Amino acid sequence: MNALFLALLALASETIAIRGGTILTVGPQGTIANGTVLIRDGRIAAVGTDVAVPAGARVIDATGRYVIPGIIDAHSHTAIEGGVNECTNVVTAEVRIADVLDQHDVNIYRQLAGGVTAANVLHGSCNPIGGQNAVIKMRWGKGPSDLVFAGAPPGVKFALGENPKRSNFRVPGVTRYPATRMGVEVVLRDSFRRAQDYKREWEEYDRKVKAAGPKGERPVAPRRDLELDELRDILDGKVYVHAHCYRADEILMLIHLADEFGFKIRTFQHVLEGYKVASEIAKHGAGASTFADFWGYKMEAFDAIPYNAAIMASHGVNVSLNSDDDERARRLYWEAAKAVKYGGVSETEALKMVTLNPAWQLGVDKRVGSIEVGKDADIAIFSAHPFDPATRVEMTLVDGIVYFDRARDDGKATRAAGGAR
Amino acid sequence: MRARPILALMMLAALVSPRGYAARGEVYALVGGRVFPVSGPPIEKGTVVIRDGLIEAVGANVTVPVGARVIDVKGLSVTPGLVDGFGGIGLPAPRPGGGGGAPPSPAANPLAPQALALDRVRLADALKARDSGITTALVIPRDGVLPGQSVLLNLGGEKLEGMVLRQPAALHLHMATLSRTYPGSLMGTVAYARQALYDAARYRDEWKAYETAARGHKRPAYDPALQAWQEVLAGKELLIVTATRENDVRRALALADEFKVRLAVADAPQAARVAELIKTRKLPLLVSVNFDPPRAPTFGTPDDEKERQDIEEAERNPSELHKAGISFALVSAFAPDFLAGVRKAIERGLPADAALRAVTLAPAEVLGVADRLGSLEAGKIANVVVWSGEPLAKDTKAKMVFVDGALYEPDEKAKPKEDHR
Amino acid sequence: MKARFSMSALLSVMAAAALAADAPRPIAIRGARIVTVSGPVIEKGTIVLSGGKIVAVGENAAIPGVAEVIDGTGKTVYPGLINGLTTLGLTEIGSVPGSVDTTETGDINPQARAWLAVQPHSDLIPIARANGVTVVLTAPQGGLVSGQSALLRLAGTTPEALTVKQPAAMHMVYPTGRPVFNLARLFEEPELKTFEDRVKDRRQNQEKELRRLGNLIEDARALGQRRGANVPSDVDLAEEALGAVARGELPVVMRADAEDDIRGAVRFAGEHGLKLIIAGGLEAWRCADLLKEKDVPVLLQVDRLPLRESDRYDASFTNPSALHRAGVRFAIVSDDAADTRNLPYEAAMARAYGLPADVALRAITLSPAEIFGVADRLGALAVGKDADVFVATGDIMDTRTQVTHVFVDGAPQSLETRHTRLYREFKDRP
Repeated sequence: MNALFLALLALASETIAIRGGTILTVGPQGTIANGTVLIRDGRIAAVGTDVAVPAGARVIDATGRYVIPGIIDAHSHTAIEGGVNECTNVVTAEVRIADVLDQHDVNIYRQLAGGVTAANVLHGSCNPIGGQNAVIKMRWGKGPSDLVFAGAPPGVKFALGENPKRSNFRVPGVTRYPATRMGVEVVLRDSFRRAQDYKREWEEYDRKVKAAGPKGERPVAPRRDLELDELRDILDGKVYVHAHCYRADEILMLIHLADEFGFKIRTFQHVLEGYKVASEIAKHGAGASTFADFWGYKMEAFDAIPYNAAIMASHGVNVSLNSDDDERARRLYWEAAKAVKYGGVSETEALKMVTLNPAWQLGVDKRVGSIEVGKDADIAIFSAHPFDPATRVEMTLVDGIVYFDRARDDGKATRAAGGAR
Repeated sequence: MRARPILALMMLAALVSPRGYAARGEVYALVGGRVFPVSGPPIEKGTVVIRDGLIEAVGANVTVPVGARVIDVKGLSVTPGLVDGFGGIGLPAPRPGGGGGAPPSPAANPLAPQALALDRVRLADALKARDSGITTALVIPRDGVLPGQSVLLNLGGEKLEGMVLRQPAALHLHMATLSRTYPGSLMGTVAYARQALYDAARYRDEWKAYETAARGHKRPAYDPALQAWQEVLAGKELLIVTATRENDVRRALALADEFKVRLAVADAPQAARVAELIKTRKLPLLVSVNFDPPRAPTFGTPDDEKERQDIEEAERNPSELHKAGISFALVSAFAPDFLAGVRKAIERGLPADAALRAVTLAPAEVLGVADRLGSLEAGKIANVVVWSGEPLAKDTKAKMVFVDGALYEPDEKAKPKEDHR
Repeated sequence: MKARFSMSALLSVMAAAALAADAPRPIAIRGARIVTVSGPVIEKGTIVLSGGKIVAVGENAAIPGVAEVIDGTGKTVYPGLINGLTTLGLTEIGSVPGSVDTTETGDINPQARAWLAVQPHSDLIPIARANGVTVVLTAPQGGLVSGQSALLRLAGTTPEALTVKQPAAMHMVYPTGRPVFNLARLFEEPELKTFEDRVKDRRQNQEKELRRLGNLIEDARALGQRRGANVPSDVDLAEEALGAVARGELPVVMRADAEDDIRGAVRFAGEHGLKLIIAGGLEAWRCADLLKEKDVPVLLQVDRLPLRESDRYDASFTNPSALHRAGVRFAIVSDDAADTRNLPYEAAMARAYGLPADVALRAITLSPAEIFGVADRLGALAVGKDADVFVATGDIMDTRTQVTHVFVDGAPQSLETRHTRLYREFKDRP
């Protein structure tokens, strides 16, 4: 073990006590006034009003401040290099965002400064079936593979509606299918039929190999198709589906298709007309990740209402509020407050929409999303209540490491290595 | 007398032959110059003897053989011929692109690992580079994702076939994207390469199975692209990945790890950022001196400051790599003026001797021809340049260039800049 | 007796009834916290609106007998918010060309007048109004000279009824020299150029466009002089429109974000005698002293990313407070249509990052009114001003606050919008 490794280990193991603030745990402990969060080995070791602070621990004074779980953005295209979309084909489940993460994207830092600690980095909405997402933590200064949230279940991006059918732009000289919502459904259906065939082909091969025994003649394996691998894994429930959609009818279409082929949609993304079919979404068991009040930019976004989150939540849907935009991602706490204004969602529920709910949607709610003992120490410290008009993020921690500290931000974070301080 | 007609013929040949044709058996002795063998320290007043296209002797006290044509190079310097280990010398200049007009000439297939650069080299164009002291060049098209296989050429002779040092030299993968066809994104390029290699492995297994037991089995299809990958897959042919960004180096290594192929990385203007990784993996590098290459405009808010910084970083890259103790070649990477680029690298801190090695022995090492090329050592190919002054200095010109032991004298009036981007 | 009713008497009674029906009833909001903007906050007071004007405001303002009285206990009264740069009314759905009238063909469109193309029945107008925005500047976009803007009140069934002041300004874009983005470009063979070449191109293009713009203005000035001297000349609508600009009578709103471009705009305005307002102004903080020296106001959108990677992460949030400290005049604007309602939260962000709360509020009320020369009528709660007023359950910059009443020209406005209708329709769907 070399000195550098040991130093890093020590840094990572820094024991921190965040003391004296109002803790919005978003968990069973609710709101704790004048509380302490104890962090050890990157995890939350204790939360409460009478937590003993071990000697040698770094104490962060949070008097007058608000301590919340790090914000999780369930729809992001931050930190991607070489293109967000593989637009040339109609089904591109083989491409992986994890192959093209850009750890130097300054927007990672800017979002840390807005309290964001994790993000669902998605393929764009060019195709009915796009590529594999990467759930990342905002570990500014680390390499691309270190950004990846290890253990987060894999997912594939779907897209319905105007974008995959290219309603709003034409590539000169290119005739593309689909051009209608009918065609989008055909592409999905065809893809899963092919996936079923592929699955059968490989099951047949496995049988033959088994039957041949260890010394028997091995048949040549079927062609390994990186795209069909993913679609088969969706059928087998091993890979999440995050489906960009707008209109109520296409939401229902996808629910029926998924039911028919025996898989689940994990989240509907944007889902701006989700409020019209909230019960159906709840019944299917999908989460919904939507905008607080961004609307009106496309025909399919014209029936969007800022009450979408409130209505879906009241019907039992797990709702998160996302950004889909580097600029909006810095102020998701402001977006969450809109759920209170439109539809009377409680402040705790609204805060959940940018913390625990997106954590569940991404399958990482055992690890993050609330301030509870045993979870990762992903925490944001605000100067006032996150919904207060004068509030500002003062500090952001990921895995118990301070990645953003407003008091020490010297404006050079962009070119510096960032990382632990 | 029988000798007379032969003599007459020889005299006739000398009269009509173009300058620089070396008859077999021609012996040269370059005497009294400052000799840079590269494989050893410089020799202040040295002699280089060339016979039969090979270097016969190099040293301070070398006896000049009888019948040698003695060339006094006092006050001049003598180096191995320069090797451009990655560029487009001899290929038609790629279109600047844009405008949406019809392409002027049949464009090369951007996804053709089977394409041979040798088929597209224009002899007259290739030989122009020699005037600046370049005696050897690896030639590959700039555009495309899988532009094919490069050829290593010695820049002297009457016929292309006689110029070949190694064919194919390597198979190339540019970490680039296409505008209208797959792959249109960097993640698409990675997926494309992975799928191609899986397909190539299966192709190998299919044909192997068929050749083992053809009777009773259906014949597999022939696929020139998959066939082209076979030597790379077997670890016999070098795969050169063009890395434009820091993470392209990581992507190249990931590909090499997944498929166990022999890898070298070209371009790599940000390689110094991953110096430790390069060292650990002993990754052969062909580092570009094309610091401001023609690029597509990026959309989004333009940040001129950042672009300038990126160019400056690229200029310092060779010097930083050297400081990190990494051995690497310097290559034109399609720069219009290879030597100007090398001089810029020296200006930015790369020691001149390291620069000289980087354009002679180092590329020979990367390309696996160091046993026969790249330094002034007995037995190596007689690629030698006599310079008017300090090699690689600003006003220094190549006065005499030997390729395969044949003497060429660069045209004083000829433009040093070549249009082979 | 019925025979005694003359036709004229009947008509005058009807006329009187009609008049009374048209004129909004006087309104008094009592016992509320009143934020006047132009003066100190009145912690508990009354404001009276009558005949479209504010007729009284104070701790003990008298309430006329016929007034409808609204209990303002626990509530806050504000002047209607003014959004100093939008495309409200000129666009409905951005991706549907039939609904978009912001950008005319060609680079030079000084004769395009926004208020003639505004859709008074836009669904977006009630939505903005429901959050307290009562007046907006609606402006054309694009090209080099986009056209003329107007100040619109967000109540009325015809463009004339909406129009508060026209023209408000001539809108231009300071040429950056860079190629304009359009989606189709993403799929074309890109034109490959070195950075040095692109920098050169940019400079050349910029100079060419500036010369072009300069010539247009000088030609317009000359035409104006010929007209003034009754020298006959051909009709040229574009030149005519630029005449007022050349004479400094009509201000120019010039869009510029990069520091060099802002400085260039100020220089250009100086050379041609233009009355300049900067829109965008993302790097205005880098040349605040110049803007102060030349008294150039800035229309700032706050929720934008910093221009340079090396900028501090909060450069756009602290932009307004930097300008404030330097004494530069500015308004906070939303610079769009569908998100006009979020104006107070932009001001909140500026406030969170250093702008004093009262200055933040002024930036979305009195400051835009001053910049566009309507401060005598709008932007504050004072006797004699237009009765553009709204009532809220608390600090309007707090996202959680609800707006309970909106008045434009003293007339109560419905808070019903497309959004509230859809909410009611679907909230209880089983």
